[in-house]
Amino acid sequence: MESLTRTALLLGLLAAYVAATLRPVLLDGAGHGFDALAPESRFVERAIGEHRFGDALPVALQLQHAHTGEPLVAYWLATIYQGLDRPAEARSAWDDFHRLSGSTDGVNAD
Amino acid sequence: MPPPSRAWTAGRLLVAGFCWLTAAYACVASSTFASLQFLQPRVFPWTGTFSDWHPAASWLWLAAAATLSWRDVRRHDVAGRLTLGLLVLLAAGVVWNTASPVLPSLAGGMPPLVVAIVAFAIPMAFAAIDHMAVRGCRSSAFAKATADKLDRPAAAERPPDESRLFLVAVATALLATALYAVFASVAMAGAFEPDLLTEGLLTGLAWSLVDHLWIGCAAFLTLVVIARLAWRRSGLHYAAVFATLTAALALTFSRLVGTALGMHGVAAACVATAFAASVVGTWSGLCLRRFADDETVAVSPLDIFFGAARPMESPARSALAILSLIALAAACAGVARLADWDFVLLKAGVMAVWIAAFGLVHRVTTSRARVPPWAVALVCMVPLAAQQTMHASVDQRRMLARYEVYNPSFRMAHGLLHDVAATPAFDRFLRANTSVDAPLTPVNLEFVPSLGPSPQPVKPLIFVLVVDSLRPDYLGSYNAKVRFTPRLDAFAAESVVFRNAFTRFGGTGLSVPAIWAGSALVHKQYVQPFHPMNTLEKLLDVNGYRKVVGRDSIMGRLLEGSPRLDELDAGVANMDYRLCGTLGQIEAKLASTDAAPVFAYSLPQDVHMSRLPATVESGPEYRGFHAPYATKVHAIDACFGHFVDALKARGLYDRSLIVLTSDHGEMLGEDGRFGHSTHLFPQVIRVPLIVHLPAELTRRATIDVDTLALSTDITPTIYSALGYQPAPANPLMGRSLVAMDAHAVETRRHEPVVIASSYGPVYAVLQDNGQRLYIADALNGSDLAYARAGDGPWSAVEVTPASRIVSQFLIRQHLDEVSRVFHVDDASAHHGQH
Repeated sequence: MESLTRTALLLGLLAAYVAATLRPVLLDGAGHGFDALAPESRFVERAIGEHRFGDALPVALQLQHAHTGEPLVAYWLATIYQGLDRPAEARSAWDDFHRLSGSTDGVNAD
Repeated sequence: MPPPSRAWTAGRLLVAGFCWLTAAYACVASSTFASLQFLQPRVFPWTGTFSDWHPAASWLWLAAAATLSWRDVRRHDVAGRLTLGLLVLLAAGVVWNTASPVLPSLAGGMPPLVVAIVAFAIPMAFAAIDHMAVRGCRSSAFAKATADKLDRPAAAERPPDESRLFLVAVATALLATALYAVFASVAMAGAFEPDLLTEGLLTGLAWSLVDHLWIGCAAFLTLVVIARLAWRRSGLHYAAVFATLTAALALTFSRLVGTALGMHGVAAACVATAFAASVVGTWSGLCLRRFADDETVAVSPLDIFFGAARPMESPARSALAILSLIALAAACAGVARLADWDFVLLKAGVMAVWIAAFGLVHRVTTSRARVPPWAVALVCMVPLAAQQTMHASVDQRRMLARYEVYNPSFRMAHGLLHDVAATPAFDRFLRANTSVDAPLTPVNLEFVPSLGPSPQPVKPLIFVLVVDSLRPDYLGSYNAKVRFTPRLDAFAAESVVFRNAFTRFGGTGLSVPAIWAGSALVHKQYVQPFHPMNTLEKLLDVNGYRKVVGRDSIMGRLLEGSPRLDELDAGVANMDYRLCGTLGQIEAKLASTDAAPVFAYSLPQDVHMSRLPATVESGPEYRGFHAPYATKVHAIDACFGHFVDALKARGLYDRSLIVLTSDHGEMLGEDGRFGHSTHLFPQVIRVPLIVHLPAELTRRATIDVDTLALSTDITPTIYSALGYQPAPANPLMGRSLVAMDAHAVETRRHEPVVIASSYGPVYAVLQDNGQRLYIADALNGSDLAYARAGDGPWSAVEVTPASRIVSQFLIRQHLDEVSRVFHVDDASAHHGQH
């Protein structure tokens, strides 16, 4: 009986170590729901890179709708509106980006 | 059968060592960049010697292996027959290696990995025979004490001595913590470390203790649970310990060596496993043989790996063992200081010290005291709870980062437990876009459409001198504290000193092609033929220049089949190019009667890390500098001054365009790092860029010396000097640093710039005219940020979520642009990559 208790204790401790080791991996696997490398995201970024802001906008808006708290989407929108010469919306998206990312270091849209 | 002598054991280790060295060479050769930039140019000459002599050495090795195996061959059992079969196979392999030497032919791809696995498999085969031979040895003391246990259930026996193992694990953790704390204190002597005053040191020590205890307790729990579950069958217990040690070593190999060489995927996992099984198998096989004929009794499988307890061990012998451990730690750190790659050797040395310390403590711990379960639980819970609850503040993180510099064991332990990839998906994206495998068709790059001869009637002489690894802060024109570059400073005073210059690639492999192309390039070594992308070569050819070029291992590829090529340093090994000798040859070429204008290029290696002396007599002028490096810079200063004098004496100086730069910088001990490796730290990406323009051009040019200048701007600047108006065709291409029409060109660069390491998935973003730097290191799964004000020193700053989001976006945009310009996606699709 004592041996069984001791084995259970040691197994429990080992399990705790394994869990602590794997926790970051499991958390990453669980994800936050938003994937910057998903096909839609890559479409938006490639379109921005090719200055096809009109093509990027609807997909970016869809992604914003699906992931309201995602600062990268706000950043895309700020860049897209800037490219489309819609300064008021760009400013608003830019404010969203600062709010969502907690930015205080003057990161700008260059 | 007589017990194996120490000489026999040492011989067997040498035989295995030759295989491991062969495998190590093959592993390095599996990386294209390492093969092209490290092995082929013979950065360390002994690697070339090893490759050259490998077939001959193989015969000696075969003779040694046969001699050492002779007593097994004479056995009339399965082990004997297998030994004979193995020797025949090895003889066939050696004959093949002699007829067609394997090592020199290895250059990237899968074949080197296959060679590595085969080389690792040979000691594994010998180890298997060792195990079989011991099983057949029934008459020895070991047969009673150990071999029987490997086969039979022993239900009546007691479970393993957990208390001893617990004490060993905890004591090893404490020993490693204490040993390296002393090591750190010694290493820190004389260094000014404001972050490591009393509070910093205590913080470092506390974290070091927690991390070492964590690893010690985790090892104890793993081994003890295996023992609990398998102790009734010793064979199973032994196999489980063997598998666990193999898995641990394979993971370590993968994390240290595999990561550094960019090895990923199934093949890399096979190599790591083969390495671990080879090492663990060889060690355990030799230990088994020793136990088989020894009076010492192995009471558990762990005794086979780490030695049985020695109750009669003298204190003097234990002290000697501890001193050996200290010597081993110091030696590993010393070797790593001379030549290392992102701390691979340093960490491997720490791992060796940990294992040796465990073995030492395992042998000297003879206590029969029984540790109560609650004490075991309490001690094991301490590091676990500490890890979950201790969250370092920004200040503490800075202290710990500094403490890591002096305490390699803490660096290793802290890295193992806390280095978790911040953005693993992004890291995978970087890896997928680095060292592109797909064959690519070269694209046509041009700064001027329909390039024709220059309108200028008199063409300048052009000299591009790229001093490998030269740092700007070792030149007086960039750093007022430098007193050892008077001639270069005088030259700089007559030239344009770009104070804010960066390389486009960290590492020579892609930095040099980028200079010639005048463009950031696809991450591939190399797209060939290079000529369509070689905007500098096209400019020189169309203007009838005679190209006087050092054809090193890179230039040989870039200028393959190039006309009007006059070779510099012919017959000299790449790594032996010296600025003094090269400039002397250029002077001699200028004296020839050929009427064609001259373009000269060289990549001298005077200050390359591998060519620095270990120690020098340090003069007062080098105080505050890395003396071996400063000495070499001092030496090239004199030669360069002589060359300028010679140009002036011939009346050519005012007609000359002279570019003095480097392909990248160098780490000279900052944060304990040396060399350039895959680093993109400020010390590695900043380069000197001093441009002497022909006198006529200097009068007309508009130049912003504080603009963010890139190495890829050199070629378009040469276009400007020849009277062209170069226009980059895409954002990857450089731009001229001189404007001939002050109204037409705004020279200050406003857009961010992405820089890449030549040798791995490490990328950096420069913003705000080179005042802010973000580094994404997909090899180590980390990111870093630096900032500076004006010309001031760089400081590490916190990576904020916003800066990470924006910088990673900019890197993805850059790689998308690379794919677009160089048609990477098309090629990958055809190559079956998607």
